[in-house]
Amino acid sequence: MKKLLSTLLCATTLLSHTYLSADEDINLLAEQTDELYRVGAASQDGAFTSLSLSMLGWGLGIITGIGVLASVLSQSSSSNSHESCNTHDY
Amino acid sequence: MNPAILTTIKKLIYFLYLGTIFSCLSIHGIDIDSSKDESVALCPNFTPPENWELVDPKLLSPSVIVGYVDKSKIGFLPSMNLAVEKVNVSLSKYVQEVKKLYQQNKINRWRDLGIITTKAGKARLTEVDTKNKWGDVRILQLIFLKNQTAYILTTSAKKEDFHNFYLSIQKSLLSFDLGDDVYSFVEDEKLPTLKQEVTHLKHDLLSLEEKDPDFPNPWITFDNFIKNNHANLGSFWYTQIINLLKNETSEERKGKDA
Repeated sequence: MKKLLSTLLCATTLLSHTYLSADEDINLLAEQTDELYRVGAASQDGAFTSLSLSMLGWGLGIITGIGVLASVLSQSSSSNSHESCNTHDY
Repeated sequence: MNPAILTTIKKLIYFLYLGTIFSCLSIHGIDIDSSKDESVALCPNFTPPENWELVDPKLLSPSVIVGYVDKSKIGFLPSMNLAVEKVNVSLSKYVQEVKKLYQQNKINRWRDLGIITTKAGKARLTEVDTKNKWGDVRILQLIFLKNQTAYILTTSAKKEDFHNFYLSIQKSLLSFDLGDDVYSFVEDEKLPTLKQEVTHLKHDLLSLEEKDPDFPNPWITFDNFIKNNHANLGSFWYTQIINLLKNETSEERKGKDA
């Protein structure tokens, strides 16, 4: 009985260690593969952000352009309507 | 079986058992220690070009921690940002991987501009010329690796305008530095006064609710102190110390309430 127990204990310890090591190895390998696959993410993110931020200026420019155009159009339409009113008056 | 052989086998099994346990412990111990040494988080800092404005953090990509743009220009605005990435490779391997990434797109022209010595140490400078519907764009990237972390300082501008910003951009790239915390960038003789101001500010912020409504905003006093004494550390450093103080005050307030 004692023999059986000590053998079982040894086998369990060895197997659990092997299992743990294997598990760790797989996790490590997965981590390393993942890291290697993703290497350069910050570089790409940096370039992408830099370009998108730079283009904000175009967005602002377009918004300003639309705003100026809208105000010019509204002014010209109001002056036209004013003129037509005047025409009617005369 | 011979009792002597049986005893020897028993002893062997016993030692094997002990050996296995010790090997398990030692392996795990080494792993923990080595990971501790290499993953110490450092605090980055750089001085963005003068008058470039801080960008809303919501507009930044996941790895990017801070961004600046020059809003004084019209059209394609020059910009600069800092991205951080956990890596398990050397600087040269990282640069190779970055090269591969950019060369996947034939529009990009990637160049290694060599080593550049920043305040933090030696870094690699790379250049990407690319095209989009707004014209030719130049991207400069400073790549610095320390403690299994890659720090990427990226700047971009229209290729034809790049020479206008080159000096200010170069100054910013060279200012890249790493420290243990935000206080490590402060000159030794100025550190006690700064820490004193920080203590005052935290005390004022924590007791703000108890004061009358006319009590001046303590941030204004702190802002003036920084402008007068630590302007040389730049707006990124200022943003970092403000965030740190906000977090610390919030934690202390939570602790008080609990």
